Amino acid sequence: MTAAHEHAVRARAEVQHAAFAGSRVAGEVLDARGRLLDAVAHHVEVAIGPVRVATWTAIRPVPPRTPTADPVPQAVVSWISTLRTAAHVSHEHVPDSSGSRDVHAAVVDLRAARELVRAASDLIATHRGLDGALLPGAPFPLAATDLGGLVTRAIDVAGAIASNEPWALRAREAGVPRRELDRALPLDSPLRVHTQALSRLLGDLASTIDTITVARPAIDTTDPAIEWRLRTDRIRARIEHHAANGRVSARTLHDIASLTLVVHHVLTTNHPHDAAHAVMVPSAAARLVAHLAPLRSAHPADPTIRADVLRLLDLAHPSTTPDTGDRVRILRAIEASVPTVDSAQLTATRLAATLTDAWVPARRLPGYLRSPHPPGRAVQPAPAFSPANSDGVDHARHPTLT
Amino acid sequence: MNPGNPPLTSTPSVTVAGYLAALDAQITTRRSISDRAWAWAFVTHALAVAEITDTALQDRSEVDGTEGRASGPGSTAAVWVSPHMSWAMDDLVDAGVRTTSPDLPSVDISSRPDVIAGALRRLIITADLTDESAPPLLREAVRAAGRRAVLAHEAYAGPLP
Repeated sequence: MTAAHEHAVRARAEVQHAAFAGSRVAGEVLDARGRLLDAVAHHVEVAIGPVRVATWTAIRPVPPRTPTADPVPQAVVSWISTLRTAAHVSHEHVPDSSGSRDVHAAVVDLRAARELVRAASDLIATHRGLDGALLPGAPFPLAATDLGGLVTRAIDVAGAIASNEPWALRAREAGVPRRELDRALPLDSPLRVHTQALSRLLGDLASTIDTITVARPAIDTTDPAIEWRLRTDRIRARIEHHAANGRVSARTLHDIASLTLVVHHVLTTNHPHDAAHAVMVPSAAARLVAHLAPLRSAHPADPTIRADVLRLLDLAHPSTTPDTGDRVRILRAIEASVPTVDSAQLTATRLAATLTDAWVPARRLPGYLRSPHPPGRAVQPAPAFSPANSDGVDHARHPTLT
Repeated sequence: MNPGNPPLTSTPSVTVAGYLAALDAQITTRRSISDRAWAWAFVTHALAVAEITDTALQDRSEVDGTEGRASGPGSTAAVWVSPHMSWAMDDLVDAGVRTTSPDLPSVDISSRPDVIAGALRRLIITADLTDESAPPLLREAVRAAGRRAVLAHEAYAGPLP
């Protein structure tokens, strides 16, 4: 958004310093400006969240406003509406630009700014589900209700081109009829006023929005330590996503428990005297593995989690990183990932307690009996899993091999 | 996951060779290679899980005691074996394997690592066989089980002899 702001400022300067070469060029510039304003409106909606914006819009007419009510949501809704209106009238009444041979420098910058704003919107959209709600594990600036930092970046972009006057003067100079200009760029447009009002309301807020990365970054495989962190982060995000949706396969729970056991095994064998490694979480993982061992899930495993666990097991094994320096780095990465892995394990343990898709196979039915299930399968209620089983292991079903 | 409960019987302890021979007698009678591969994966997985849970219980008792703990929960190399065997069974079941689990006789705890390594080697040998009459998906699942067994063996018992 910072780069988009620079392009917008440059476009405004170019309009102030260079005339439009005819009404078609003017139409092209005004069209690009309208599209940028529309992109900014879309960006703010995506950043705040379509669901939240819809809620604010729905409650806007309720009077009277109480003194304690936060004025920012209403101001944001008004500003988005003004942006959309400005973009719409600009698009509807802008002069025809088809066949224009000259390209004004401002057009290039406006289009570049629009692309950057749209890219930022797409990046943020990766943190949202189909219903517009944030996915589990979304960054704090998106999840927080304090939206100042999110909106100020967009205000910077729109504020650079909000005033209609310079654009209208250049367009009139290029021969665009006054009647068309009054409709496309009305001098009484509230866009500049609303932008300034919202900017004053929010102040110059510091924002961490620029640090947000895409929700599902590509895994960087060039550095094992970074790869380890990215994959463990992805596993935790996915299991939390499954928890939010309420559906997870017993196979996936087994994968998570296997990863927990390996992580704590590696740390224990490399730091045998360090008692800081938690006891409860790997014990819960061992119980979960034992609980799931004789069961079979009707649902396939999450392929991403399974592939990640497979790769992490490969990375964690000493034979993968024979170099001492690399081994030290991967061990540090494994140690740093313990909270992430434990969090995923706790989620998996919680899910196992409510698991309903685990089942055990039945004997094959004789040919003359028909089963609603595939041969050799019979859906049965999953045995109850108690995460707080203090005995550790169910000896009745898993007697120790002695 | 893994079909069938492990019906661990309480027969007297036997040697590693005798234990594996008893399993061989049960498993080699199965007609298809995929059924045999699944059975060896089941055996290996059940033994690995037993070792993991034993270690967890052992460590818990050590934590509760006053001497502290020499090794943490799950600090057995069987943690490398369990996931690979579980995935091998998943692949085989998804490819169509439907078979019963073999009976697991008792084995002494000190002999268990040798039994796990031996079972892994038998799975590798079984997966090397080719059943031309099996569907391609099933053949690939058997081969994948063999590859997983190699990985598990290297992680648990070192490179193959």
